[in-house]
Amino acid sequence: MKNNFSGKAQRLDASTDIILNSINDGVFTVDKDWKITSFNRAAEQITGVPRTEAIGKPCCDVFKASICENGCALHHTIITGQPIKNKRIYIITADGTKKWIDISTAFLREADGQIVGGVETFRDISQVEELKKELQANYTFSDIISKNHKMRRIFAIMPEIANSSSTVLIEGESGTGKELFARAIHNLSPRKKKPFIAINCAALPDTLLESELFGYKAGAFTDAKKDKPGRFAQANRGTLFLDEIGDISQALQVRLLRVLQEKIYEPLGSVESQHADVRIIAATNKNLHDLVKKNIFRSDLFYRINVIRLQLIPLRERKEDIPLLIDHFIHHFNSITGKAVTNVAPSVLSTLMHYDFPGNVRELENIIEHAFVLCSSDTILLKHLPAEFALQESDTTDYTAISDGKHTFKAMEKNIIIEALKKNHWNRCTTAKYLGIHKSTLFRKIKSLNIHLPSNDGRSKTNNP
Amino acid sequence: MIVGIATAQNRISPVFDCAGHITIYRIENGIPQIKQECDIQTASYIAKVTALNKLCVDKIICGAISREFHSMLIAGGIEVTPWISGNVEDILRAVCDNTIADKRFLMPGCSRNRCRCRRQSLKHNKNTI
Repeated sequence: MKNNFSGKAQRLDASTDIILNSINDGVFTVDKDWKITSFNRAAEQITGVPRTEAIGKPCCDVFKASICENGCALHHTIITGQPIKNKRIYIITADGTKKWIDISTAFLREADGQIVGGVETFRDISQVEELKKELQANYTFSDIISKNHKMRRIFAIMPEIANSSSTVLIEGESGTGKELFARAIHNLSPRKKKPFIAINCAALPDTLLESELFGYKAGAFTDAKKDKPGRFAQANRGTLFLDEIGDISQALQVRLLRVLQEKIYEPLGSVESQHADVRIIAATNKNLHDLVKKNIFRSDLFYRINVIRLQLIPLRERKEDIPLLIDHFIHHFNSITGKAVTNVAPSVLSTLMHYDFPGNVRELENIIEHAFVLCSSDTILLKHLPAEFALQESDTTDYTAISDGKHTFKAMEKNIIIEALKKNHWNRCTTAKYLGIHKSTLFRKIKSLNIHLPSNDGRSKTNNP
Repeated sequence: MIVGIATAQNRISPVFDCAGHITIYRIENGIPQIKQECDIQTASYIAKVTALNKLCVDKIICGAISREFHSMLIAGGIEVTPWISGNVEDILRAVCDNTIADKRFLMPGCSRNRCRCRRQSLKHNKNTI
């Protein structure tokens, strides 16, 4: 009789497991000591913690949630008997990513009414959060991806820059992420709860730009029927981002200089000055110093905005970031399109590593977006890239097949290094910089991949012209 | 060496981003001494890094940490040994004995291959204590 009962209990446990593992929401239960007693498959997927490692461990060490230390929802439910529904929190996954989830809690009661633990269900809402971020452009420090040492140096000073209220000048080629940096500085600064207003100075004619920046009073000109606040007024106590500042006229430069110096301005048609409590972040894809030398840009304005200068590195000079950025954009477009692309083919990576990206990170993003439209499998292939890359397909195929006809990773790596060495006249230091790796790494790879260097290499070239 | 350990009820705080309390230890010749205790809960990431720099903290031992906060600490010149769980006393002993890299102190789901931050940090911290 007893055996029969325990058999029934086991069957019940097994069927409970099947039910729990078939649902998309994460579910875990805890006993009265806050140790995990069950952990379903969705919970494994969302948290990245295998069930075998989770069972028997304190729930806070497994779940790693923002509320574990202060305001644990399960604790609240077990103590008060009140369930919690759809509370939005974040957990930290094993790779350090913040993942937003919705949680609900309830207590577990035995037949005699005694509380023996709690159950928590949770749902991954990171996709919703990603879309929200896309809509609100609420970018932070964590959205800037780079392991390049020059970019790392910029990251190191970002908190201090954000904390100050000094004017920042961001220089960088088109597509290097100037606005992303500006938004990240704003979102890290004490002004983050106030508006971030961006204006592209090159997109508007001079007179319109003046009224856009400073606003106007009713009657200032024909059709000015009522007062209109300018961007300076809209950005009050916040940040004003002046993109393409190198393109504004001399007359507007003088007005802007006055605002930066005196912190006051007059809207068009107004006789009263207004105070501007605005932090200015300016950006340009031109070399302002050169424009000053050519008398196109006023030197006094240049020195006024050149308080903190950030020089963003073009993507061709930080090629080590390309794989990271590809991963980031795959994750990003998976969230937006609902696809499940996991990676790019090695031939795609090698093609992109050899490309100079005149349009920088934005161009890489567009290439991945293009590939997403055409890709219906889990891997982006060369044929999914834009036409100009697809044309290179035959070249790349030949080049990956050089070594013994094998498409191995080592063979590809060897060919990439040989091609890079050829392109840089066998100069190993230049090649290392070109590939975005340290020269000692290149030397090691040359040795391990058995690459034969010509006797007249890059070094002898400089000695024997 | 000055080590900061985020604590909650005598255990390592599960998420350093939301940690409310940090104990600062001075470790000399393998002997830890409490230097200071401070509350850090309401401070922003920047304020936390600034506060830890003011306290001359060389190294942080903590539980889970976001990539963003981890990068800021590294940029602020502070070494980080994340994904650690357990009792503060055990952890402190392991720090002094240089056995903090033991698997038994790792949070569940955090193998060395999986936790990027920890892998980098352990590589960086090798032979530092």
